[in-house]
Formats: sequence, C-alpha cells, structure tokens
Amino acid sequence: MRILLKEYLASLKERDELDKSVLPNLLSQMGLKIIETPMRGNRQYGVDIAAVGKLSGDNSHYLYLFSVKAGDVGRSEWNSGTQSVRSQLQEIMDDYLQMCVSKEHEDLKVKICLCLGGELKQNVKTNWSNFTNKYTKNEIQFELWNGDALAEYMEKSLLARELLGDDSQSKFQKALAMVNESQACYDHTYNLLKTLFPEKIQTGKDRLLKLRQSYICLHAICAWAIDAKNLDVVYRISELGLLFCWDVIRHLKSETNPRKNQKIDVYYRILWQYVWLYLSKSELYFEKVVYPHADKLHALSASVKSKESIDINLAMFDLLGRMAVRALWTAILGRANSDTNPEYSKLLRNQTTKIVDKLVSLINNNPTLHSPFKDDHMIDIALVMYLAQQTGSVERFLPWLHSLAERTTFELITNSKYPTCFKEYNELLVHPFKNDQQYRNEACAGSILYPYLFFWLLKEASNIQIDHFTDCLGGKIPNCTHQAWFPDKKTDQMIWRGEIDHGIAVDNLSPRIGKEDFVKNLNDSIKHCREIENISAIQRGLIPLFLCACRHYRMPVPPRLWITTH
Amino acid sequence: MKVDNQIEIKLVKAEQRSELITSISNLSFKVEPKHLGKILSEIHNNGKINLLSSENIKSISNLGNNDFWMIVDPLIVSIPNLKSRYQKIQFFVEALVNKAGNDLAATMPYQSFIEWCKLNPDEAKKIILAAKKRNTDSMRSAVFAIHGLGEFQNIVDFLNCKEPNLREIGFKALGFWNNISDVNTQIGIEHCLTAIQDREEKITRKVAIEAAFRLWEKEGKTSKSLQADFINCLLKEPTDDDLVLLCALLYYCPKASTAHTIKKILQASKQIGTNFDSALQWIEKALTWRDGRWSFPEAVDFFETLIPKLESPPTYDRFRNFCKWAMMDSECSSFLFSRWLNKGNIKLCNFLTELVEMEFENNPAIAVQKKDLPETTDDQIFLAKKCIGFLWFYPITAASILLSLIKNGNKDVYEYVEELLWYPLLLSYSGELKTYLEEQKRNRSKRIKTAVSTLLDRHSEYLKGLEQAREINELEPSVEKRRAATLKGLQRNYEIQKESLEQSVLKPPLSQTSTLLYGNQCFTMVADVKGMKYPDICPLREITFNVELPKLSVIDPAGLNQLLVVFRAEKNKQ
Repeated sequence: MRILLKEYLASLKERDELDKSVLPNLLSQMGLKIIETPMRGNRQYGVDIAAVGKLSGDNSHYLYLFSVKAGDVGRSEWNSGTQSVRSQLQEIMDDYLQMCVSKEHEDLKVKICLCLGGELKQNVKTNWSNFTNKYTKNEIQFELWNGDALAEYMEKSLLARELLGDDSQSKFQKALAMVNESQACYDHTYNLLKTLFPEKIQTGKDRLLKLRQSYICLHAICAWAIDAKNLDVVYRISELGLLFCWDVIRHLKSETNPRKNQKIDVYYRILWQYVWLYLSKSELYFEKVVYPHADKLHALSASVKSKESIDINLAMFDLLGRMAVRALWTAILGRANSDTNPEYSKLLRNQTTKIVDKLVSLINNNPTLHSPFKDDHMIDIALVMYLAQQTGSVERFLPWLHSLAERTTFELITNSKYPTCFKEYNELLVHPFKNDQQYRNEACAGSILYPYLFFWLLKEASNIQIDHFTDCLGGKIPNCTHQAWFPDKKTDQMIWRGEIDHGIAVDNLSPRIGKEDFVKNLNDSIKHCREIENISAIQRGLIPLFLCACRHYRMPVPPRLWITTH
Repeated sequence: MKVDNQIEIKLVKAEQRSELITSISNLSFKVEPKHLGKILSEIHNNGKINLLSSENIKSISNLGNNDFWMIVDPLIVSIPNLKSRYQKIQFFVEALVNKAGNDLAATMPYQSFIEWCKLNPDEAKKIILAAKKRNTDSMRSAVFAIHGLGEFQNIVDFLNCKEPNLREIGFKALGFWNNISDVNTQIGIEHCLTAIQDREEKITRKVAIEAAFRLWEKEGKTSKSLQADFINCLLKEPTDDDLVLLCALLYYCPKASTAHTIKKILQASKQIGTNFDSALQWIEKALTWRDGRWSFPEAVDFFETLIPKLESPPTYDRFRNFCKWAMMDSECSSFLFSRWLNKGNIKLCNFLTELVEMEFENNPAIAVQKKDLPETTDDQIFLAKKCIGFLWFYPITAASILLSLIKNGNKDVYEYVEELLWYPLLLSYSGELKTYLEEQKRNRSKRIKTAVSTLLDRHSEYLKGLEQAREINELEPSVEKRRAATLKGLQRNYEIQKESLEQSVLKPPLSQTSTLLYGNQCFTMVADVKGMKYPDICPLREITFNVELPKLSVIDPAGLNQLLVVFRAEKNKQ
C-alpha cells in the first residue's frame, strides 16, 4: 500500500494537487488544526499550509508551516528564482514569522516543514542541512516530509488496513489496477464508495474519516488514470465522488448553535473539495476531449473509432450531457461568487460561456446529435435546454430542438434509427431489427423523449410542425406510453447512490391528447408531485448537483426543471 | 442394304407389336435421321407399316419430351415422300406440331407438309378446294397447300373472297410467300392496306399487318411500298393489340420498317393502355444502335413513358439492349442521365442506378453535355439532387455529373452543386472519389479546376481535424461493446456469405465444391477422350470485391438517410 501511495504522490504534477487535495485532509486526520490553506487564497510568504497541533512524537503543540513542492527537488528547484525552495524558506524566516503569526500562536514553537511529493535529491541535501542548521533554534525547527514520509503518514492516518478495511483496500487497489479500462475502474470505484459509505448512518467522526479517505482514494485513482491517459474514468469517478459525498452530508443543516455550525462547516469544506475535484478533473477532460476538437467537423464523432453508428451516437450524447452539467456548475458558482469573489466569478462565467459555445459547435459539427437513438437521451437534451435557459441562450438551441423533433419522426416513418426505450447495447446495436408494428410497439413501449420535445414544440413551433409531430407519433407508435418522471419521498435517499427504484411516473402525456390537455396534465402533475422541493440539493440551491445525479444515473429530468428562469 | 433390311425388319415387327414409335426412338440413336426417314416412308408406302395410323399418332402424343425430340427428325424427313390422302398427312403433321408445343422448331413439320403438297399437287388442290368450301380441316392447312402449289393466283383468290376467314388464309399465305415479285408485292400490300382501311375483323386485320411487314422485310429497296400510307392509316385509331403487334414486328421483321415508321410506332406505342409490358419487351429486342433508322432520343422517349407503368421494377437484364446502347456512346449516356434524372421518376432513376452498377465498372464517369442539361436553375438543382439520391453508391458517377453541372450549368447552380460535392459526397467517400477529383485538377474547364481545388483543400483541412482528434481515446466504446459489435459483424458476414453462395453459379449441385485449407494451387488428374489420365496442377485465382462504405452512414446515418430519402422522393415542380 505504501508503495502505491508513494507512486501516487510522486505522480502529482501540480503543487495544487498536493496542497489543496491531499495535505489538508491528511493533516486534519493526523490531528492538526488547519489555520491557513490554499483554498482561501495564494501562498503567503512562503507558507502553503499553516496548522497548529501536536503530532505523535511531539512533546508540545507546534505551529506547523508547510512549504509544498510537487515532485522531486533538485538543484534547479532548490535555488533558482523567487519560487525556489530556498527563497520560499527564506521568506518564511524573514517575513511570515515576523508579520503573519497571529497573537494566539505567538507562543507556540514553530516547525517549518518542506513537503515534497517526491524526493530531495542527493545534490541538494547538503544545502538543506546547511540551511536548517543555520536557522534551527530552540523555538524553530525544520522537518523534511518527502514522498516516503507522506506515504507513511497517509497510510497510518487515512488508509491503514484498520481504518480503511480489507474490503475497501482491495477495491481501491482493483480500481487502481484497472485505470486503463473505464468501466471496470468505475465499477470498482463505485463498490469502494458503497463500502466506505454504508447506508446506515455513521458517527460524525467516522463520517469525516470516510469522506477524507474516499477523497484521497478518488484522487489517487484519478492521478493514476491521468497517468494512463484515460480521462474518461477521471470524469466519471470525480462526478461519482461528488454524488456520494453529498449523500453523506445532505442531512446536515445550518444550526443556530455556532459550535455545531463549525462542525458543519468542516463538512462543507470537504464538499467543496469534492466539487473542486470534479471541476478540475472535468476541466482536464474537456481540455483534452472537447475544446480543441468541438469546432472541427466530425472530429469528435470520428474519434470514437467505431464502424457502428450507435457507438458514436452514445458517445456524443454522453459528452453533451457532461458538458451541460459542467456548465451548470460554473454558471451557478459564478453567480454565487459574484459579490464575494468577482474575479473568480468572472472566470467561472467565462468558462460557462466557453462551454455553451462549444456545445453549439459540438451539435453543429457532430450531426448524430440531431438523432437520439435512445429514448433516455432526453436527459442530456433537457440538461442542455436547462443550461440554455440559465444562460439566456435558448434561441441558439431552438433550431436543434426543431431538428430533433423532425428527425425523430422522420426516422419513425422511414424505419431508420428512431429512438428506442431499449437499453441493452446488443439491442441498440441491431435496432431497428424489424419493420413491423409489433417490434415498433416494443421498441417504443414508453417514452420520456417525445413528451419533452412536444413540450418545447408547443412553446416554440408552428401549428404545422406540432400537427406533423403528433400525427406521426399517433400513426407509428400509437401504443407508446408517453410519460414524465417526478421524484418522490424516497428519491432524496436513493438517487445519490444510483438507486433507480423510486419516483412517480406520470403517463398521460401523449401529444395526441392535444395541447390543452397536455399542458393541463403536466400542470396537474407538477402541482401534486411536489417532492422535488424536498430534495436536499434543491433546498440548498444546488440544482446542478441534482441534475448531475439525473445524468449520472440516467434518471429523467423532472418537468419542474424543464423550464426555468435564472 | 443388309443393314437397311435389318432396320426394316425391326420396324415391321415393331409395328406388328404396336411398338413402332418406340422402335423408331431406339433406332434414332444408331441410324442417321435422313436415312431412317427414308426407310420409314418406303415401308409405309409399300404397306408394311402404317406410320399415319391413329395408334401411332397416339403413341407420339404419349412420348416423353426427350423421346419425342429423338424421333421428330426422321419423321419430318419421311413426311414429303409418304403416299396417302391429305387428311391423314395433315393430322399426322398437326400431331407433331401440337406435341412440339412452344419450341422454336415446332413448325418444322409444316415445312415437310408444304414439301408434301409440292410433290402431291392434286391433293394440294383438293385442300384448297375444300377450304374454299369452308371445310375447317382444310382451312387449317390451306396455307401450306398454297405454298406447296406455288401459284400466287391462289393467294389473290383467297384475298378476293368475301369471307374474312378465307381472306385470313390469303394474308397468311401472302406473308410467308418467298421470292415474290415487285408486282405481286405491290398487289399484296394493296390488299393489306385495304384490310386496314376497311377496318376488318381483329384476326384478319392482325394477319394483314403481319403480311405487310413480311412483304416489306423481303423488299430489297429502302423505300417501302405504301408503308407511309399503311402506317398512317393504321395509327389513326390503333388498338393496343395493333400497337403491341407493330412493336413485335419491329423485332421479327427488322428490315421492314423505315426510320419514319419506327418513329411513328414508338410515338404511338407510348399511348398503349394495356400490355405495355409486351410492347416494352418487343422494342427492347428490336432496337439496335448500329442502325441509323433508330433514334436514341425517340427510344428514350418510348421507354420513359412505359417503364413507369410497369408493376415490377425494371431490371438491367430485361433492358440489356437499351442499356448497352445508352452506354456505348457518351452522347447517349449524357442525354439519358440528364433527361431521366431531371424527370425524377423513381422507377427511371432506380433503373439508372442499376445501369451504372452493371455497366460502369471500368469507366464510371459520365460527362453531361450542355445541350442535354435542363435550362432553368431550379431544374439543374433538381437534377443534382436526384444525382445524389440515386447514384449515391457510385460516387464517381455522381461526382462526374455534378462536375458537368459546374462546367455547363448556370452560374447560380455552381455553389449549390459544389456544396453537394462536399456534403454528402466527399465527406462520405474519401477513397476513389478523391483520386478522381485529383485527376480533375487537370481538367480543361477552369470552373471544374477551381471547384475541385477548393473541395480538396477543404477536405485536407477536414482530414487534419480528424487526425488531431485521433489521440482521443476517451470516447471509444468499451471492450464489451467492441466484442458485441464484432459478433454482430461476424453474423452479418456469415449471412452475406450464405446469400452470395445461394446466388453463385458455383452453388452445389451445379458445380462440385472443394474447400482447400492450405496452398494456392490445386492438383487433379484429368482424363482425355481416350480415357488417358494426366496430372494437372492448377493455380488458384482469388476473386475479391471491394466497396467503400459511405462514412456518413456511420457518423450520421439518420441525417444521411433523411437527405437521400428527401432527394429521391422530391418531385419536379414542372
């Protein structure tokens, strides 16, 4: 295990990953109280993380000051430029200790720790000794936390067999071993998270430990997968982690008691670490997969490298949904930070705009996105339209919606790749297998896509288009159960972990019943199926989290979220 | 002579056992038909056998098909020399003809009957006399009697009869009259014309038309007596049967018609309401591109009117002559493709697709000339769409027509056609089509050169985009999905192999099949006519067939399907 961890630490290429992801969790779990983290801003006078506390082996409480470096430290890292290790350490001595230590910590002895993902190279060991010998005093000490030491601390404090458990450790190792194979790696990670977070409620301390453990595990798997150049699984498990994390903390609500609120804050800080993990990893994914290629005709479709059109269709709609969810996060976070951190907010808003632009390009350059092969592609379409409404760009996507309605009905008429509610890949591969009504009835036994498209047609299309759409569905799939899904009381308990056996289906939404009845039935069901208001994420204003769960576990977007104003 | 005696004895004994026909059948393996026929007539005439007896006629009727064709030659040879009354000869001949059924050689016994009449003029005269007295048996054989006697006056006598059935005999005899003089030809055709003008009964009219064409067929000169009057009169109010007959006569009497007549028949036959299937078939057989009397545009006009009326889709095999003609000459193919694509009729356009499939293996490009293109921009765009819709699987053919439009079409069509060349054509086919377009960079037309350069540059940019995205592995299907797709592919290949074997000429039991697992040569022992065996090592030949599947059918199958369906189904506004 230690070798795995050491390799993982060495593989972290960015300082951010070490000081934002690994160390805060590790130090907290080791018993230190973090007073300064990079989450709050940039490095301060050479210090990346400041913490107070007493570690095993310490005879008293210390003020720990960490200067963090990713990878190995050699001659060039030690002493070249303002970001070199030596100058950082010098800054701590000259500036931080003089100006930044708060009164309450003034009396504490100081330990300055050089924290490395890798090793201190032989050629600078003397420099390190000379420097530390020169500045070590009774109240100031120096420590070197290299990859070996960090791995040892991580193993002892977070991932020890007795802490993580045999079962989880084995699943973690399996996930690491399968980073090249997305689905297998995802499955092992999912099982790992299920083991770490059993359904029965854990104690507060245990819950915190598990959240930190799972975070480190996810981070480690991501690092290995990035190394293996498989960003698909990185995206999927970072999203999965976020959903599990929310499931663990969703029942925590703000309290009037400040002490209790402090505890809740700890959980929310962890949640934001998961959000950060998702945002940073998904950005990596989009940087590789989408941004350079979305503007090029067929480039992404061709990159699927398959002669089966279904593979391209599935991959493109999946990508579409991922982009929409990612942009929803940046949109909501951008708005939330507009007053407190305008610069960060601007950055997020720019990211949102960029993804919306790329979505338009993706749709224009990959024409398979005009022809959903699966009925549940409604989820991805609904996410895009929700984003479009949130960003005031509905007009840009309306031609696409019309095209979807036209294409899907045309395909029904010509018996080509019309949307089916079949989910098995083997069935999708040969669909449409036959051209008879019996097969069509089976392939379109139910639909969430058509009511959704009809809803938008009613809003935006001409009567001719609406009539054509309705007539075609009536003629070709008269027995289809057109429906929508609403959350129920169990949904909030189940949806975050991927359970799908919950919710209410409303089935009187056939376009054939006419505009008025359709709208009436929809309104009635929205009025009476109100449990969505009690979904924890929605109550806390985290709608993207709920939509993320819908996308991730292929649950339909409920009608309450079909239309929105931002 | 000894052998002849033995044959004679065998035949006589067989006759006594009522097995004469079986015996003839057995002997036909060993004795030459002419010789056997001569023996048969001799022993019939000297009363040792009665070849014409009702038992023997019955035995002939009961013969199997192969046995019948074994004995028919000696019997035909024997007929002219038989001594008997004409009735018996006629029944015997008719029995042979009936038994022969639809075979091309079925009428051969009639020739022997004519010979018989020639050798027995008194009996022939009796037939004519009896026919004039409306004896139905004699009326059936009067034509042969007339021919046997060889007196043209007999024909004239029949033609002058009031009774239509008797005039019918005259026309029939007239049609088959050989070595006819110009004067008699003139007389005969005048009678035929009168029959048409008088709107004779259906049968008489039919034989009169047939007779006229047969006479013209024998007429040496290029101008045909009274043909223009005859055709004009006939085509004033033609029945469907008349038209089908005329089409058939263009085939049976290829030299009979003038260019004007062919044109008139083709034009008139377009109006045919029933039985157009037969009319099409006759014209298809009759037309020939080596004959200046036939005009390709007129033939096209005829086919394009009748083909859409067919219930079943027209196939290359049914119209092989027409197809060959269309493809022999670039002028013809230019005319045909431009015209039919612009018509937009689904059957005609599908037929063009089949034509390309069968004929264009080596040179799939078609240059449509300016004179053949429709005039308006709308029509030219319509043609371009049809070209994509129907020639989709023949990208070079489609591209060559589109390039012709760029070269010869209206200026405002240029951009639209160039876009079609890009999407869906070049985006789907980047193999042979690209090579073809590269070649077109050297085309004399500046318009084509510019368009092709733009397209190829655009395509290079496109390929660069695809190449850059190759590094992405995140969107690839999982191993399980790949496996499932492979299984589906294997199943599909298996089905294709099964179907191709079903359609192959190598299908057992037509040919023996051996599956060789190793090596690239095959050893066999071959026997010559004397039974000597020699070793033969035969190198195996590989037959491969490659086809480039359009890329858009994977990247955007639904969109492509919609585009093609709409292009195919769209109707010309005119």
